Amino acid sequence: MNTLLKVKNLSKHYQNKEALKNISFDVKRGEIIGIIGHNGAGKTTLINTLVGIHKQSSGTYEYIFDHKTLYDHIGVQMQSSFYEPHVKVKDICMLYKKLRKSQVDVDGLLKEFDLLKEKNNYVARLSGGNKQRLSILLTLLHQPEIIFLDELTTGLDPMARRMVWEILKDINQNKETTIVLTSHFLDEIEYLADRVMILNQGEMVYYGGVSQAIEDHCQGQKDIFFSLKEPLAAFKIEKYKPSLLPGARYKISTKEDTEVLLDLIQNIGIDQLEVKSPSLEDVFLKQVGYTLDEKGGIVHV
Amino acid sequence: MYKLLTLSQYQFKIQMRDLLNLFFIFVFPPVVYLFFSRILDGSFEIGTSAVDFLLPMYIPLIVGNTVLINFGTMLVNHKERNYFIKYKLMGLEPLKIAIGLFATVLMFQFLGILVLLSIAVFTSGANLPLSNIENVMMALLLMNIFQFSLTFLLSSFIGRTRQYQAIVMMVYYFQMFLGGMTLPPEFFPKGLRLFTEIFNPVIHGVYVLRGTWIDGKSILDFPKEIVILLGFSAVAIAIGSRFFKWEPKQI
Repeated sequence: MNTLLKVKNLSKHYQNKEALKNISFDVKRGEIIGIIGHNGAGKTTLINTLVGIHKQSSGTYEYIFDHKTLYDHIGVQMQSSFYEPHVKVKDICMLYKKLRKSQVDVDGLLKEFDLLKEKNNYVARLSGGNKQRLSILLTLLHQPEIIFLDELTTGLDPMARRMVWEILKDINQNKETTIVLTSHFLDEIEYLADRVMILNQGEMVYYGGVSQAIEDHCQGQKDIFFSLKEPLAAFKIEKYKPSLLPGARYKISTKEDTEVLLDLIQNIGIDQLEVKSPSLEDVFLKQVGYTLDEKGGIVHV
Repeated sequence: MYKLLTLSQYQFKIQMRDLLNLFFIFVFPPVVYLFFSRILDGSFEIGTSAVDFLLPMYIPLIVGNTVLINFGTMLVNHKERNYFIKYKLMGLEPLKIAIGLFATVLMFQFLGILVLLSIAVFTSGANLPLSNIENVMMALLLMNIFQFSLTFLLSSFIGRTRQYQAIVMMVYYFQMFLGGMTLPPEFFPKGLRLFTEIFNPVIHGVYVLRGTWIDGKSILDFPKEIVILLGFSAVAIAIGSRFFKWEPKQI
């Protein structure tokens, strides 16, 4: 895979605020890159800088293609996508097609995105999911090499989110479009992204493979969740240094999960058993300096 | 040019679906004209019938509506909703988009004036100043420059469409009722007319348009009015340029 975008020491300041600090990374053709971070972490600023909306304060970014033709090669869906009032789906599609001087078959694309029946409908009357599908479709009308999607699924119900995920997977695999997306949903990034970037207060605290990040974080460790059949047997599990969770449940993190499980089932007696591998959420919380307390609340460490 | 034309066509199409917009451009001015030309008929002692005298006073209604209200609302809406940035990401610079929007409202203005004149001619037999058309066009241009500058000034300070619409309606009604666009300024008490001429510069545009339209005068016969309108426009554009932003305030 060749490198499509190379970012080096990128920084962005707004008056007194340092929104991005020395960010360096690369994006390879065909990848899906997920950018996560809490509000104000710099996700949108990073996207807006890379697509030329904002000018960086220092550092460089270089695409494989000529920067003068940037907008011929990229597609961008901004965080808030609004459409003019009284506009119909077919109008906005035709406008984008003409402005992009694209040869794409609009009806074909609408059919592919299951929007053909909405062609003559007003955009304002579309459901949230269909509106987001339209947003993705519009970024693809000129067949860009890379698309940037900023919090595309925020505000969608779980079903609509899933549908958007499948569309993104499909265009990445079948159209070989590189995707850079930001999201608040860690399950979304875990499902879609090949590599993940964690931003914290403008700093890149992690950039790498999603499964690698989880592996590095857990190092073969698994989390065992359970409750005791006999509450007085709590002293028997002290040796595993368990965390007490709400509802008199316990959590044990261990690499020897098989041995611990056998002991819990055969010798101690447990209910409501659940065994989990750490998720991207655990990695994220650790990287930005948070952990879960015994009540399941988030505390800064 | 191709992109500009495409965007203007698109804007024109969606503006045509806005019924309120269509009412104020195509229906309201002829209704006001027909109403006042009937009730004021015979009230003038200047040798001109009300149907001819009032016609150039109601054309500025269309100019005000298309530029001050429509163009201004679109401009603020484009800023607020980040449309300028959205189109920038398709290689269209914000200034070009603004020009496209203005071209759209000019198309509406042209059609609105055409409808008003047609109704005036066919229902009231109004006379059109065809022999002095170049001066009338210059007066119309002057009026557009003035309204554009006022729109630009207001939109540089107002970031939200709803706020803009509320404020601009007050400005528009002030212009309409105290700018000679409903009742002739000659009907005003002396003090009110002086107040209007100082604080409502659009009235000078009405004087110029009326003078070129009815009296067949040259635009150069109105140096004071031209200086006031262009002077105001220059100041408004200068202040607006200082504060106008193409996008909502950054974090």
